[in-house]
Amino acid sequence: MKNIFLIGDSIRLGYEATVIRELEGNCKVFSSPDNARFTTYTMRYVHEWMKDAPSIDLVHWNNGLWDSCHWNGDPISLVSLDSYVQNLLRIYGYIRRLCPNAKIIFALSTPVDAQHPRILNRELDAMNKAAVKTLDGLVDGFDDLSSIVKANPGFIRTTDHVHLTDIGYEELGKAVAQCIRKFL
Amino acid sequence: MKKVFFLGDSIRLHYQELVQEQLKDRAQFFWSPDNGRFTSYTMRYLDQWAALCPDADIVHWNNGHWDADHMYGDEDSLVSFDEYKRNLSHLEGYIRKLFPKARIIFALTTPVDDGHPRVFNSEIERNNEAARAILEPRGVIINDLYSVIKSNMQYIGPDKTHMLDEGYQALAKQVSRTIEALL
Repeated sequence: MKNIFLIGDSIRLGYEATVIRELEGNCKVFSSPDNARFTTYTMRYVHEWMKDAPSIDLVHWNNGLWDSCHWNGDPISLVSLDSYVQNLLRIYGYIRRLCPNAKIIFALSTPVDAQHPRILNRELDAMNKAAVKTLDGLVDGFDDLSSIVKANPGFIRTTDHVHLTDIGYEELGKAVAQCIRKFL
Repeated sequence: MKKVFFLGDSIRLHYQELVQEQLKDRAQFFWSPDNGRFTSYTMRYLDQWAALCPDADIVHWNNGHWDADHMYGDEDSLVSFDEYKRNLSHLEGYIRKLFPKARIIFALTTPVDDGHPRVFNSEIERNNEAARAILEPRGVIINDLYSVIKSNMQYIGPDKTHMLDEGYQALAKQVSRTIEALL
């Protein structure tokens, strides 16, 4: 039985149940009890979330949507692109130190509906590109959840323009489970 | 009676009720129920906290200790110096937007014990100077809580960050004096 640890925001919380179900019998899935929110927040709390976990074989991790959000119509995103990149490197280092034997997969942030008032897909694309450039050669792989949702825009809820429908989370969860299986 | 709103970290959480007691006949006090933690955390939640008292006349605000923390012996602090300045600059405008009639007071970050393993007074001083340079020209009143403790380092408690009771009393006195000048 392999031990998996999921870290991420509310999108992760949305697909987690499907991942657990899909991997049942082969993997035990652990996760941060808290929404990982944005990179600075994850940096601050990741040690607390992982301190009681057993030896982990694979960490599937995402941060991005909160970092890129222009809360309340702010002119700037919550975390600048430069700091986002630096924070990813530091979180990677923390995870590596906390789980020295684990494979680490970084999941790209999913797109929002074009009508989202505070998150811009072109900024998310820039962050995903920067994440891949920064973490390439460090992490064991990337999970391109962005492309899955881009190819299926109907997965995005029309009510809040960011979270996914039940079907969207189901499909994303299956994709995450498939990615995890591939790297184990 | 004027309304005062407190934002800030655990240092603020410790002196706010002392200030309320000292000025109970002069002002009404409100505060964020949550610890303001670091600047980006305050940016994220400020709108929810501000909804508790949008018509505040005075906002007394601090961010700094968490930002400056080199957690786990990291070379970098939780929030980089450049990002800290960016966030302070943004927060000043954001506070003005959410509390349109308020005068803003920014409290400088208090020093830590010189033996603190992760927070360094040289960086707190640099951050405080930057905060002053960014905020003072915009009409923000600077409340120098740093000096209150720097001249009385024995006020710092065993965790090397938080104060003993007499330290919080001294901070509350200084905060009350600064607020009182605006009442």
